[in-house]
Amino acid sequence: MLSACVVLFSGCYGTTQVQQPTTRPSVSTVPEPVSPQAESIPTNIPQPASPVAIPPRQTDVFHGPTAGENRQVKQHPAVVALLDRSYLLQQQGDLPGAASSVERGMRIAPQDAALWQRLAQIRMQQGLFQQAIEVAKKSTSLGQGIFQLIRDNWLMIAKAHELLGDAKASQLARLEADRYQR
Amino acid sequence: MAKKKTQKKSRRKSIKKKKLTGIRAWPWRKIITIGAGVIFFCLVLFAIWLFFHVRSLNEHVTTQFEGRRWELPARVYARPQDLYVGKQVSLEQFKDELALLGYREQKEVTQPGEYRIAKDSVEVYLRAFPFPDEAQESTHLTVSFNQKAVSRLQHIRKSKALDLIRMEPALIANIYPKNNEDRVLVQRHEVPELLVQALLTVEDREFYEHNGVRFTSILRALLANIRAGRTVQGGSTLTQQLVKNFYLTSERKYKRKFNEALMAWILEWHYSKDEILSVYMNEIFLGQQGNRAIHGFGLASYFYFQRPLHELQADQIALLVALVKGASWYEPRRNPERALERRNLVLDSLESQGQIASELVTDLKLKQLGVTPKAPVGVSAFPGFLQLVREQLKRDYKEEDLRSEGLVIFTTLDPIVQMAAENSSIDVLDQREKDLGLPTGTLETATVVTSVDQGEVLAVIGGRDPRYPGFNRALETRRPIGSLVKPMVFLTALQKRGMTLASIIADTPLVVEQRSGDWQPQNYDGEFRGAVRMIDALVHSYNVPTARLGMEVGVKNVRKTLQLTGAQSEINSYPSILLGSVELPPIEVAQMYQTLAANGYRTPLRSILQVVNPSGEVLTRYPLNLEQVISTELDYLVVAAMHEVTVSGTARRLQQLLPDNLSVAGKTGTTDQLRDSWFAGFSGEHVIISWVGRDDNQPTGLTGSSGAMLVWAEIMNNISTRALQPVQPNSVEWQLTDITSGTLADPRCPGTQWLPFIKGTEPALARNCVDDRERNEQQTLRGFQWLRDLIN
Repeated sequence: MLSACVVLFSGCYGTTQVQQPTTRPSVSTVPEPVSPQAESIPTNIPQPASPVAIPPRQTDVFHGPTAGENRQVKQHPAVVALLDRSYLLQQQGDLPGAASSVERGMRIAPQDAALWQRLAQIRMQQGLFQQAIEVAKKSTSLGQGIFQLIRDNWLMIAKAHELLGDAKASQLARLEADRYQR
Repeated sequence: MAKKKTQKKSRRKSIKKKKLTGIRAWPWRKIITIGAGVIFFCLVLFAIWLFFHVRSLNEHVTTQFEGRRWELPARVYARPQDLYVGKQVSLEQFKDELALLGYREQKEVTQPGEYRIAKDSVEVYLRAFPFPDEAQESTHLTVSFNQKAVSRLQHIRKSKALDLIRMEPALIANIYPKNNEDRVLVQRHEVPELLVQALLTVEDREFYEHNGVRFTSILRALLANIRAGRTVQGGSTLTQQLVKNFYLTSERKYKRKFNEALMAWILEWHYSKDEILSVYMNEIFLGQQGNRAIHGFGLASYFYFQRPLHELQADQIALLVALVKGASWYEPRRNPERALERRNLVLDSLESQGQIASELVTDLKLKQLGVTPKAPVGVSAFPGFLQLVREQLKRDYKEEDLRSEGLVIFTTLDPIVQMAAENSSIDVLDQREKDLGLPTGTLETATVVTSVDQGEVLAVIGGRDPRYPGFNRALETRRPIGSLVKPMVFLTALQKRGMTLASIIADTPLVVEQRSGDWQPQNYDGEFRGAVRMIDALVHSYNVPTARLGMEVGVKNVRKTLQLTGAQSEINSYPSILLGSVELPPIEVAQMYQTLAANGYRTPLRSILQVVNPSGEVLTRYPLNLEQVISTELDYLVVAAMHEVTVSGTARRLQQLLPDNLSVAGKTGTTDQLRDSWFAGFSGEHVIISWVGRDDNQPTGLTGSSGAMLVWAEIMNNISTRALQPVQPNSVEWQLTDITSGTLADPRCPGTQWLPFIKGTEPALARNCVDDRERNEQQTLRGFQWLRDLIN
């Protein structure tokens, strides 16, 4: 686990390696490094005792992860099994089958950003670049705070725009990816 | 009198003639030669005719037999249940699922289709199922439960824990051929040997010896029939029975018998006994349900016992064979005594042939018929959902292919959710009618349930009677959506520079000039509040500020938001759409709210995942597609406000109706004079849209929160779902604000509320609540103040 964290950490800070579509990501637990953006985000404002009742932060009611939190993403073994299967099918050239497997995983963990990224990768290989862009964006929306994932998504989006012949959008996406790298 | 005379005359004449012929000598030889010639000629003619007749029959028989393609109905399946540790399903719900699949509870689990309940677990032998992506083997396992979820999956033979297993999907509908013949094809090797033996024993003991026709038995039957003066005995072999079923139309009796024999003989000439037997077992008529004809043992097994043929016990097999003689006469549900007698006769025959041991037969004969009390629903138990499936299929498949190609259609229906939604709707409507003193059946309802992120339609309720396959209110009624439109108005408004949830909007009389007359919107309570924050306009559903805001951002832009998020019906650009005069069916509202629930990504709602042909090849896939139509930040703000609706707004009663930890977001909708009661909203996993109203469009006396919201809450309570947990975008932050002025506030101010803002849009002004009385306390909070200063 520790080594996995180190791998990801170094991925964020050191290399600019892009995740290959058919390689299995080695980590399922993703720690969140401090980002250049995150530094300027006020996290929980300390709330002193007060004579007036302070309403609770709405996020407490939502229970949702917030941008500034250190995110731990642990994948369910069933999801891992389905991801494995999707890699296998992808290698065998059965891209729709691989996508079906990922979708099955999404029924178990619909907000797992890594699953959406997998789907985007498959869409790329299917040549469905516009869909790849949309799905990668969705992965980013769900994966707030998981910087390696966001970076990979932006790089994928850049590639998809490039293949669609939109150099400008591709450039912008690449810049966005660079923001998640030091 | 006159007649008698002429008769006598003619008789006399003939006698005379006889005498004359007797006298003259006849040229016998000549006559014989001519006669023989004529006979020979006739025989030749007959032979020629027979030759051509046999040839044509031969062609008829072989082309039909070889190219025999029964028109096979399409089978529609629900989503398969995935089981894994943590799956939100209770033991009770799991039992419901097993019941739907026709599993039977046993003291000992020995074969697929059986289960046993222990204290907190179920031992179950899951059936195999040929999923197109990966066949699932039959698996004997223990499923353990804690509270409301699966806690462990244990493979019994391998004694190891399983991560994931997929149950077979429930068959939810059939789309029949035009002739309404229904069958489940079985191969010869899939048929239990006992069934074959029983069939031959009872119907045709010499099947493997004869050539298609047994003349001795025909003769015997003929004599018996002549003696009785009517048909009492049939001497037909299985081959003849097959021919009769398969080829012949209602011709005259003797010609038909003749052709039948010829064709039987031709069949036997061309095909092996096993081929003939196999076709027979799929063709034989074994029951009737309405206008649907049950053909073949494969389907009969499901029809009478709700399980596959290979799972049948000896007594059940005997019953199916008993039905061959007359499926309606011996119909076991209608005529159980007759059926029992006939079944036991079959068992006796099997005993006398040594197929079953005598001791066993005695036991078997004591058993009840064992048929399910009701035949499984023929067309569909879920007509509301099926209609959606058919509409989607219509775009890609011809009607005749659907009815004849044996297509297998995998859908997104979740039977557990569907049944929970049905029961909830019925319970709440019954109760509300009682409360309001309305006659039973006055209120109608419609509901659509979808998954949040994948846009899969999990349940559709088209009306009060969910089994009624008629008018589908979820898909076909267009009703004004009332305040359900408001989130779209605010979504549009928030796109404008400087607009935030804390922006102040005037709540004063508003007159919108129109060619058709001035439009003067009113608040529900008729009051004007002077000024309100945007979030309050949504949370308390104030009409006037909403209309004012809508006019400011442009009716056309609001219309565009409606279309972007999922409305497909025609929408005009009159200002009144700002308050929901737009008429939409619930399914389109579901699409709009799905987009809101899924971070602003619209996913075209799907009811079908894939269509597969009988050999297992995938013909069409309906993949997950999405398009971001609203920025994630804006969506987050509106969802936060819709969550507040359920905490302190028009839907605050949900706080009592739902479990504490289940946070949701939603919006009530009520139309003029309380004609339509709507509630639309979502948890982290399910989008539910409910409508309650009357078919005659009369007032119901119900608001959104006193009608549809109760149905909605009851459904949420009865399904396993997850709390709403939107991921906070990086570019959004929460600020403490003053509830009257909308400015930022510090924690000591009275009347504050946390609100989310897109960074950089938060109000510049801050209210300072520090007074002398609090100064001392403030000293102690210096550290905090320092931090705030740093931030600002």
